[in-house]
Amino acid sequence: MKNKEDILLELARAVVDMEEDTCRRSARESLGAGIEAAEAINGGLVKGMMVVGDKYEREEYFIPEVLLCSDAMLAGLAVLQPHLPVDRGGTAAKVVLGVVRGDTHDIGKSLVKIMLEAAGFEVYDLGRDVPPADFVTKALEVGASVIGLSTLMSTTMDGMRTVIEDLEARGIRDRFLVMVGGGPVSPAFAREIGADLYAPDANSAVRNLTALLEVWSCA
Amino acid sequence: MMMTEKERLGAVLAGATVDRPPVLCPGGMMSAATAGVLRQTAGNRHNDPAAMAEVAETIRAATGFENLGVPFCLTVEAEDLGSRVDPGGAEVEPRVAVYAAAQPAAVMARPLPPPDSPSRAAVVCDAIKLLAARHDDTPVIGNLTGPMSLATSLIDPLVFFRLLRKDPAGAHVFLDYLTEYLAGFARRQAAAGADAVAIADPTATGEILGPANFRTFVRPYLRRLARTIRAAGSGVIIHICGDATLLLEEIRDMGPAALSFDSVVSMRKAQTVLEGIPLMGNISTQVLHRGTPERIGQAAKHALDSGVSILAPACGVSLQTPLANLRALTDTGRRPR
Repeated sequence: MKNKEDILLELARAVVDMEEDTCRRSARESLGAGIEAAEAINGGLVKGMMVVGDKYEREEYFIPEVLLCSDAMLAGLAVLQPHLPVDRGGTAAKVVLGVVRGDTHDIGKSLVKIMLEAAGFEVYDLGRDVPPADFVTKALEVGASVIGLSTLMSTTMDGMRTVIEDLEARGIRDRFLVMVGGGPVSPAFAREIGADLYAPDANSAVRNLTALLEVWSCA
Repeated sequence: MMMTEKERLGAVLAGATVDRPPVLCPGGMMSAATAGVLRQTAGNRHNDPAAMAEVAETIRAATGFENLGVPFCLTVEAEDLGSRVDPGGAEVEPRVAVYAAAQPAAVMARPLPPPDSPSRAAVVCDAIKLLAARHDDTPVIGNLTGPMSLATSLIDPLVFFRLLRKDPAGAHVFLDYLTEYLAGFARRQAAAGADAVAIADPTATGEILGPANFRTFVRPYLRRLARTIRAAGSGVIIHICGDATLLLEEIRDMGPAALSFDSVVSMRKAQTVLEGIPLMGNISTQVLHRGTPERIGQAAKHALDSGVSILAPACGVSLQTPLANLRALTDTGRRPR
């Protein structure tokens, strides 16, 4: 019989190798071997997804590959999730995410969502072509602490500014961290519109957001 | 010898020597139908050939770009093949609101609009005819959506990207079907009088797909379109979004086409790999939108100094771009060198 370490390695490898069926099977095997579901998720699936993130950053994997890795991870997660203790995730930071109005590209945003969820964030995905006011409404409704705005088109970048102005006008700007990213967005533009965080890619979005939230919650 | 704008573009795209690079904004994804231009026009520029031709003429008069380009968005083919398009307005370009289908098979099962129907493709061809008849010396540029971008305007991109790996043969069948359709549309544009056809494939970037997927799922189809357009007697421009530096080896052999790049690409570096290929670009559209005319003039001069064959914006032009800024670009481009 395989030991715990082998099973966790197998879970991670199945994610990296985009093997949905193997991932599902290994997840069941982990439960059979008495491994805690949380450990199988963190020590197997999430670890695999971190390797995927690194490969993406190193330009070894691209969007099609990352999508299939994420499918494999989700297949394993579907097996493990029912076995988690019920109170898990109650403290996860909530992120409202979407692509600003005028742009129907949502590839980058979807990738950020995948990586955020793998890192344990609770993500509310508003999709693409989202009117600026919807971000604020949803963030208030779910009690989010982070608003993530994405665009791939230089023609729609002003929508990001509108969201921040909207938060300021309502006097609630300091209740949210605003993160911006997408092809045409630069650190200079992020500073100019008063965003808290610029995310050049999905991996740094998670890394920088985690670091910033730590500082923020201590302040 | 003084060349006409049409002669100059024809010569550049054929790889011949010219007195100076033309300064263009081809239309399609890279359209200068800004709010400032649209204030001077009326009519339905997306569905009425006369209004479309008039906006193309107004762009030229108001901005100084040395071409007439139609249409003004990247949704014509997607709408004709079944996606629902939100027409937008003066501040937001038309965009796909609802995908045509969940899977490629359902798109291919749909009958294509007959050539004589009032499809959006027919509107574009009729506008090209009007423009070609009215302008002897200014080139008319028609525009095409690249196959990968069309595929991902018809079904959810995240579904199609998975297919590239899960069912590569099926993905090829769909891309082949779309390329045949696009080749037919391009031939109609050429027959209507388009001096050049510009293909924009903004989904097919190095960042999204990577070199290996680009080689397999993008290059063969763009190359086929380039050859088709050349054979029909028109020049070809292919715009590649994002950091094409990732793809320099892949795009060395794209067929008989000029290559247009985004602002992140160093034209000097690109030239060392793409020797002999006319390069177009690549004035940052953010600088065009928010920069001063003086700063834009400098950027244009820098692009010319780094050896571009065609001076042009680097990507989609923001609709709020001031006309004076576009003028600063074309004024610099039009100065004799």
